[in-house]
Parts: sequence; C-alpha cells; structure tokens
Amino acid sequence: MAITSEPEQRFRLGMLLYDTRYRSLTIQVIALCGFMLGVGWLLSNAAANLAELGKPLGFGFLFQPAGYDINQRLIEYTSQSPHWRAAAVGILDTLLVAVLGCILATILGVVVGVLRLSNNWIVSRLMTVYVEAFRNVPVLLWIVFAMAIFIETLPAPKAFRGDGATASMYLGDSVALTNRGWYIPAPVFENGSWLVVVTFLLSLVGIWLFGRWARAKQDATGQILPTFWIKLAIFFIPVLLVYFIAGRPIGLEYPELKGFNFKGGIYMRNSLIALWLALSFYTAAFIAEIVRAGILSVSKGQSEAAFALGLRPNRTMNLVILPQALRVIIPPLISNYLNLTKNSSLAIGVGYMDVTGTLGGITLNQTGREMECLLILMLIYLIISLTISAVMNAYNKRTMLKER
Amino acid sequence: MSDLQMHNQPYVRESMLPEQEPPLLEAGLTKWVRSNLFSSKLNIVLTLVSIVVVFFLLKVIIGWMFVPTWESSSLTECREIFLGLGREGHFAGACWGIIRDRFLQFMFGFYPAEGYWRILLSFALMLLALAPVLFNSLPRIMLWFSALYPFFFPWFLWGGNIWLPILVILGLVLGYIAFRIIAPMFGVIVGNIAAVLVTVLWMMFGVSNVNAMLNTMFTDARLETLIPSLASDIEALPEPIAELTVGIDSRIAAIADADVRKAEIVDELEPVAKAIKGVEFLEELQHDLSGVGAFDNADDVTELRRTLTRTVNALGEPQSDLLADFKFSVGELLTVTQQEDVNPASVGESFAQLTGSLDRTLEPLQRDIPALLDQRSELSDRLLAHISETLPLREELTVLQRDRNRLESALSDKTSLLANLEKLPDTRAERDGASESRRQALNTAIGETEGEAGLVGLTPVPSANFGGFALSVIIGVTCILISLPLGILLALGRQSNLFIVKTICVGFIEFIRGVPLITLLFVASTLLNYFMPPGTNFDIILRVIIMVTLFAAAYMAEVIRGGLAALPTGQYEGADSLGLDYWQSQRLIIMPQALKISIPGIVSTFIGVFKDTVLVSIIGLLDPIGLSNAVRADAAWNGVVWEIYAFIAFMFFIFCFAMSRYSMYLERKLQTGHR
Repeated sequence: MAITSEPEQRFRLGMLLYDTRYRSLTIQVIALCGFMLGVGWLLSNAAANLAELGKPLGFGFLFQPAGYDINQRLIEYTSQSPHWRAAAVGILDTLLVAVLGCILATILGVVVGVLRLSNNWIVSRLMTVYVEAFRNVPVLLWIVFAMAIFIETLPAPKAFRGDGATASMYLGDSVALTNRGWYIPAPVFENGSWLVVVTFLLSLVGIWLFGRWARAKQDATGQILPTFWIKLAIFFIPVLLVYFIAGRPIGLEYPELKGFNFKGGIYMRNSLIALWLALSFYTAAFIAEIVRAGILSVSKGQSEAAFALGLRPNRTMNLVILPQALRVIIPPLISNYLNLTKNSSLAIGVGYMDVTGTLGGITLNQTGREMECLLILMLIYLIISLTISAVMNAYNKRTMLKER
Repeated sequence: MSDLQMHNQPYVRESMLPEQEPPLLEAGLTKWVRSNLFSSKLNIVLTLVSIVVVFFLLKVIIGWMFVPTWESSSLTECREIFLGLGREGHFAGACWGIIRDRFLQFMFGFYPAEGYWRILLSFALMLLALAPVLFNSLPRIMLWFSALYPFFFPWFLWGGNIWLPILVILGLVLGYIAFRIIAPMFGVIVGNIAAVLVTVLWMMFGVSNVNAMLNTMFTDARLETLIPSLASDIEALPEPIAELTVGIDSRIAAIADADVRKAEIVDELEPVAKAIKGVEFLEELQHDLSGVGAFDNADDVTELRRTLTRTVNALGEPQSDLLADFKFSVGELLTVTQQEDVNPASVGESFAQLTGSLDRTLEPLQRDIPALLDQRSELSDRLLAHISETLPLREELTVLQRDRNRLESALSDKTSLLANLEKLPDTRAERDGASESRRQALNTAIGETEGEAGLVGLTPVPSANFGGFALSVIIGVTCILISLPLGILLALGRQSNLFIVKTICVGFIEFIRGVPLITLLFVASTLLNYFMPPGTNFDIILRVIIMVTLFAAAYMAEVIRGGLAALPTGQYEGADSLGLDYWQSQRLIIMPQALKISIPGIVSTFIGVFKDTVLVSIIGLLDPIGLSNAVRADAAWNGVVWEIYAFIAFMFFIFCFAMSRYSMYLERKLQTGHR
C-alpha cells in the first residue's frame, strides 16, 4: 500500500493571494501596514503642527499653579494648587455625581419599572408618560432645565431673613433650599465617635457572619430563621446603644443664615443638584424599561412551578423570579451606569466643575495644551469605563446560564 | 327506581333559568374601576396619590400654557398681558410670542431667508432617496437616485458650483473605468488597487484644478456682459434701498405711535389691577386673621408679628382714608406685639380693633370689585386687540428690514466683485510674471473672484450661518447614514478571525464607547486640525460630523454585532456549504438577516445620536440650545427661559417618539420568524 504523500509544493509569491492558508496573513499584514501608515501620518502631522506652534508635547504644565478657583470640591484645593490637583478635584466631582446619580437612578428606575407593570391603570399610564417624556428629550436639555428651575423658582437667601421672611427652611430648620444651592446639616464627629463607627463596622461583619451561619444551618437542618429581622436588629441596636452610652458623640451642624448667606452645614451648589437630579431622572427612565423587560422576561411558568412546589409568594420572588430577572437586568443596568457617568461630562453645560470642566475646560483654555489635556481626559474616562465594563463581564461570567 | 327517586325529591327544576345580568359591581365601568384602580389597599393609595399629582401638574401646566401671548412682541408686552389677566409670578404664564417671533430661526438658524427652500428641498429629496431603500415595493430604478443624491446633498446646503459634486462622481466613474480596463489584464486585485489609486489621485489633484479651470472659462465667457450688468445693478440698487428705508422709518414711527397708545391702556390698567390685588390681599389677610384665637402663646404672637410686618410692607402708601386708618391700627398692634413682655389681654383688645377696622375697610372695597373686574377685563381685551392690531406692522417691519439687509449686502458684494473683475486682467498679467510666493497669493485672489463670477450653481452659505433644528437634522442624518456602513465593517472586523483586524476594531470600538461624546467634540473643535497636514483648516461642521460619525459607528457596530450574534450558526454553515465566498455570504445570507434583527437597535442608536446633537452647542455651534442663548441676548426677550426649553423639548419629543414608534412598527412588520 503506497502512502500518497502530499506533493511537495514550492512556495510561490502568488500563494500569498490565492492560497487561503496564507491569504489571511497577507490581509493582516496589509491591514497592519495601512493602519500604521495612517496613524503615523496623523502623528507626524500632529508633531509638525505642534512644533510649528511652539508647544511640543509635554506634561510639565500639570505641575504649575492652576490659578483658578473651584467652588465645589471634596479635597483641599486653592487657586495656587497645581493643575493636576485641579484635575483630581474634577475626577472626584465626576465620581461624586456619578455615584449619587447611580443610587438615585436605580431607586427611581426600579420603582417606576415595577409601577409600570402595576395593574393600576392610572399609575401605569403615569409611569409610561414619565418614561417616554424623559427618554425622548436630550439629557442636556433636562440638565439646563433643572438648573433654570432652581435658579428661577427657589428663593434667594435674603428671603429667609427677618420678620417679613417669605421663605422658610424645611425639616425643623435644618434644610434650606435657596437659588444659590442647598444647605443641609453636616455631621460633626466629636471625641468618642470612633466607638460608634467601629461598632457600626463590627455589626456589618456580624450581619455577614450571621447570614453565613444561618445558611449553613438551613442546609444542615432545614430550619429557616427569620434572618431579615435579626439582621435588621444587628444593624441598628448595637450602634444606637453605643451612640447613647458614649454620650451622643456624633452631632449635626445646622446651616444658619449669617449676613447675606447661609453658613455651616454642607453646601451643595445648584449645579450639582441640577446635574444629579437631571441625570438620575433621565437614566431612571431607561432603567425602568430594563427592569420592566427583566421582570417580563421570566416566563409565567416559572412562578407557577414555584407555587406548585409549595413556595410562598415572597420566597418565589426571592428564589425563583429575582435570580432569573436579575440575569437579564444587571448587564444593561451597568451599561446605563456607564452612560450616566459619561453623561456627567455635560456638567460643563451648567458650570459644575467635574473633570471635563477643570481639565478639559479651564486648564485646557489657560495652558493651551489641547493635546495633552484631552489625552489625559479621555484616558480618565476610559479607565472608569473599562473598570465598569470589567465588573460587568465578571458578573456576566458568574451568572451565565450553564447550558448543557 | 327512577320514579321513586323523582317522587322522593321535594323539588326539581324543570326549566332552565334565564341568563341574568351580572351584579352591578361586577360589570361595566364599576368593575373596571374596581379592578383597575381600587383593587387593594395599596392600589387605592396609589390611585389617590396619582390623581392628586396629575391634578396639580395639569393645573400648573395648563394654567401656564394656555395664555393669549402668541401675538406679543416682547417680554414686557407679555407681562402687560398678564397684568390684564390678574396673574403674576413664575407661573403667570408662558410668553409664546418668542416662539412666533423666532420660529424660523429655531428651524433654520441664521441661514439666509431666501435659501430656506434649499434646506427644505434637500430634506425632501433625502426622504425620496431613502424611500427605495426602506420600501422594497418601489421601482428599483430609484436606487440610482439614492446612490447619486448623497453627492448633491451638501451642494444644496452649502451651495457653490454644481461642478463639484459632478466632478466627485466623475472620480468614481473614472475608478470604475480603470477597474474595467486593468482587471482583465492583471487580475481583480490589481484592478481594485488601480481603481482606488485613480479615484484618490483624481480627488486630490483633478477635482480642484478642473473646477478652477471651469471657473476661469465661465468667468471669461461672462466678463463682457457681467461688468456692465454689475455696474447697472450697483447704480440701480440704492434706489430700492432708500425706498425700503422710507418704509422702515414709517413702520417704526407707526409702531412707536402704537406703543404710546398701548402705554396709555397699560397706564389705565395698572391702578385697576393694583386695586384688585390690594383687595385680594386684604381678603387673604382677613382669612388668615379669622383663625387666630387667644394670645397666651409666644409663638402665636411671633406669627402675628410676622403677618403684620408683611402687611405694613404690602400696604405701602395708602390710597384712601379708610386704608390709612387700617394701616394705623396695624401699626399700633405691631408696636404692642413688639414689646418686651407682651400682655395677651392688650394684644387681644388691639386685635379686635384691627379686625373691626379690616372689616370696615374691606366692605366698601369689595363692593367695587365687580366694577373693577369688568374694567380690567375690558382693558385687557383692548390691550390684546391693540397688540394683535400692531402685529402686522411689526411683521412688515421685519420683512422690510430683512430685504434691506439683503440688498445692502448684495450692493457691497457686487461693488467689490466689480472692482475685482475690473482688476482681473491686470492681476492675471501680474501673476504670470510674479515670484513663487506672490503668485500663490494672487492665485488665491483670482480664484476667489473667478469662483464668484463664474459660479454656476447656488450661492454659497458659510457654516457659521447653519443652526437650529436644521443643523441637528443635518448632523444626525448624515452621521447615521455614514456610520451604518462603517459600523457594518467594524462589526465584521470584530467578528472576524483575523487577529490584527479584530484587535484594531475592538480597540477602536471600546475606545470610542469608553469616552463621552463631549470629549470627542472637543477633539473636533480644538484638535482635529492638528492631525491634518500643516496649513489645512477645514470646516467646523465637517469636523463635528466626522467625530459624531466615528462615535455613532462604534455604537452601530455593537448593535450590528448583536444582530450577527443572534443568527444561528446554521446560516453561516449553510452559506459556506453553498460555496459562497466571504463577501457573497455576508451580502446575500448574513447581512440581510442580521440587519433586520438589528433594526430596533439601529433606530434607537439614531435617536440617541439625534438627541446627542444638542451637545454641539457646548462647542459653540448654533443648534436649538445654542440658539436659545442667542435669542435671549435680544433685549426684547431677555429673561424668557421656560418657553424656549419647552419648545425645544417638545420638538425633540415629537421627532424621537415618532421614530421609536416607527421602529416598533417596523419590528412587527419584519417579524417573519415564528416564536
């Protein structure tokens, strides 16, 4: 039996094009060359242009004093601080509004999404109107609109003064809503407050340990403990006990009207509030649709089967419906968080100093370093986005349907 | 047996009962209300809360929206109208006059008025070009129009020579011819390369040179007739301008005259409105005071003191004796309440005096109220009538001023063109003997003159004049249309198993999706010129379109990738087994199905991009939001906020809502699979 070996084929140049074994390589090499050439052309143009303008690429400007003030900040900053610190203030402001926005948007979105499925005709219609109204109008419009509402309709600080005051503070004179911003009480940590904080952290650990123990016990014996109430008790009781035993070390500093303006408390500028609320309400409309779709995606048979097994409604919800709905809800939810974070760059429309406003706005205009500023700015957003999508991918992997 | 049973039973029904109406609670409206609104405790609460919310929202919004301010011509006039209606404050009403006044601006920006038809026609033709793509039932020959129209779309909007789009199309035709010639000789791949090479070379060198040549040709041909006609135009123009000026002056005088008469009406109206307001204030005060009892509580006294202070401030200079008396007793009570240790009894005494005085004061005033109200509504009617009478005058004035501006700019354009044309032979002679750098400058000057004189086409419109919803639509539609093929390529690249191509595509998509659009727009406004060869400076709208297209393409790629992923593997395998090559299987099998699945995603990407076009206001383009600042800079409308936002929001809502509904309809229509 003669073994027919493959005929020795000499490599010819034409095979690069017509032989499928080599063609993909050829295409890739050509694509890479084209890509490199294109990028190289752009970069050489940029280098030539920058050289012509006399500002070669360099990041030294980040360490020069910024020379401008930032009115809403989470860390220490003066106009003498360097530009990188201004950028850091901006990043923190971006994260602040993003985190606040994600929390509020989730709460609102879940409530609206569930209410949209309600069998109450008027409520579900109202929620539909809300969702459609917010989804179909640009978010920038909502932001400037919210800003205009606060500036135009809230009273000026002087309206709170004197006998003829036309405005008053809310919640027992602790919250003042003015056209300059909102003043809310600030927590004051006195001696001994660390005790309360430590107790709080310990009780969190306790809740976690208890949850593990309860689950282990249920697995072993089948006994189900009223975990929710016990966890609630662990959450509140030790902290409150320590708080009163230590002599109420954590107090509140209330805002007070002094001179022309309020002093004390936490001052949230209008721009922050407007941005926060507008982003939250806008994103909540999208989240509501996601939640609705997620709940609808769990087929009715699932809950019927759970009832047939004898599970009570709340356990059906917790053990059968939610885990399946969440698998549908979470990925788009996180990509909406991502959108909210990116949309927070519209802060520049109302003058809130996020990283686009500091690094991409004033620093860029003052130093004239467009290339460097925008590079860093994009890099920052890219890092935030990639972190969030890494989290999403990890979650997706964990909850992926195990198909057989 | 059966008989026995029959007899043992006490009663057996022998006939069927007639059908009965369901109980009243279980039928019709009642049942619907019970099951949809009040089915449980929670639902009852929700329903009541919603009704209250809806009621208050509607009350505020309807009260604000439905006001007769459509014909007003300034914010002051709106306030006068509200005075006649007895409204004031933030929620007095909308000043719709601004929308009437600036509607065209919100639609077209600062595009010249005589060119509005160009925008409208280009959009209409665009719909016509889209029609055969969207609806298969239309004759296929229309696709030729769809293919050619994109080249003429920018020409309609920006104007300029008709040669330009034709020359660009010619470049593609040349490429095709090169392919047909080369391919049979050296193979398909070389043919493709030759085609691309010929097209690129033609675009880089051919188009501008041939265009300049044609310009020169036409200029030379027209030179003889153009100079005299320009000269006669320049002589003739000042006369109509002077006529228009006379017309404008007479209108301005007439409007000033009308404004004097309107001021008279307002002068009459103001005291009436004030008197009514005063009575309303006193009635409110009476109501407030009627609930006050004993004064043994310090808080009560403080509250009273506040009310009294407010009253004293509000009364100001009293107009009648009765009011003066009343103010005096208020002051007395105020001094009593301001004492260190207040005696409840004395407060009570003064308080009784005060309420008595209030009653006495109010009684005659209240008697006048019907007459005053009649007077106010009569004056308000007169004011509205007057405003609508003077509206035509104002509109005439606007038209006249617009015409005069147009004639004046035409005059100055023609004068400078004439001067340039007269110099043209000399300049050309100078160019031929000039040094290199001088020659370039002269060439530019000659090119400009010849471009103007040899124009065969539409008057050019600079990008700075674009704005309003037209700009949003231009950016949105252009970007989506270009991003669709780009997105398809990116999606295919991302799905491909060529490592380098895949890496480049993934990197691009993730980068664009990871940064906010505003940073890309910053790149467009500040950075994009840096990446071009030194000396290029291209148009801001074009730069924005490039960046928004890249942005949209990345999102589009993800949408289409979703569609590709949703296709069963059998489709790919089936295509392979038929012996189709990669592009054939994509074109014939994969893409038609994948695109159909992605339609909802494509439309929602389009809606997103269309909404995102408002971001261009941040880099200084005059989209509706950018325009709103420009409009508010006008002294007549300084201070108008809500109306503009409400109008813009309404327009966007209409566009986007309609599109999302259309995509749902399309989704249902294209649903051929069975689930």
